[in-house]
Amino acid sequence: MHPIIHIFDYAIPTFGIMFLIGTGCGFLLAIPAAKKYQIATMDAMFFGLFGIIGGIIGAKLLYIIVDLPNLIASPETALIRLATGGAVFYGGLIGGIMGGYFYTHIYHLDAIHFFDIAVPCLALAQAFGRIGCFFNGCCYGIPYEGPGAVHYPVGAYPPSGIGLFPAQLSESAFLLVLTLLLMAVLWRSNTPGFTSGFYLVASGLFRFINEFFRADPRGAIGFLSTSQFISLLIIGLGILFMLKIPQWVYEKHLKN
Amino acid sequence: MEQYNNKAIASLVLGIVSLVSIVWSYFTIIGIICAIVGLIFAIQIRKAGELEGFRPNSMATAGLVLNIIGLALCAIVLIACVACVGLLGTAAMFS
Repeated sequence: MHPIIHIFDYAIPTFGIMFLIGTGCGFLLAIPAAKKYQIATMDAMFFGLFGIIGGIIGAKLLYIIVDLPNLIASPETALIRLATGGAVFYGGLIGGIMGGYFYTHIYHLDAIHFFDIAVPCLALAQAFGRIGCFFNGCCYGIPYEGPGAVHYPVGAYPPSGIGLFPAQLSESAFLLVLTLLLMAVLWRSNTPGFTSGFYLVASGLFRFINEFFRADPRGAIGFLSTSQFISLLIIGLGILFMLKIPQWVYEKHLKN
Repeated sequence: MEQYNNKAIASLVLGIVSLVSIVWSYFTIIGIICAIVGLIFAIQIRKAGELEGFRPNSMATAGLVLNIIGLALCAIVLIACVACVGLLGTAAMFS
């Protein structure tokens, strides 16, 4: 719809702006969330920054691994492609977790407490990111003519002339509600790691269902889409967190 | 303290380089690398100040702020809908 905004002579992707606003709001939310475990605001901020650094490195590294055959095949464009784009979300996620964990490890802090305060902030950032997807036109929904149907203009990335289900906005709305729920769970829960588990199960479950209402071209593994397959793994990990198994492994083997 | 002063100067310089690199689109990747290294230096100084009980100098604070701004502005130019690219990439890996 509005994939690019022009400010002076610069073309700036709307997704990037929304993602940046989301990240800013996530950092602001970390201030009240950190009070739950009496974590210093500076530590919460630095944990987030290490997460972002790890995320950028992870996203780029996995992109290089996934796209290595193409990069080797055309080395003359490889450097430009590396410099201008290419990032893999799941690499970013794994890298972000590793970056955050690395921070808690070197300064002898409790990683599970930090993950608990990070998940509401992550959900809020994701919600803004999905609004960015809506403006970008990607991740669009199935043809639908009911209330709230979206009609993209001619020339946009999604098919124009027909009504589409607002799959991006439905996910964004869910994530905003989930942020509030996670804050409530964080304040009421006495089990470290439960909030992280709740986030993984809830977001994985919604993503699994929401995938049925999406029509954009994306990969498939068997009869499931790639994200549904990954959602199942995420739900499994969330259930493990609720059963306190990762917490036990962390206390036994990984904590300083 | 000397090593922290050197790191503070390095952090400030890297922050300035990352901000300048936003102007040319192909250099944003260099800007991101500079901002990441500068940010790690700045965080190290802040944490060392907290643990060893000294107040980080203003160059370290300026370095922290410039690197955060540099990282954010470079990322905004470089970032795309990562989720979509991610799905295609993962699908390519499995197929």
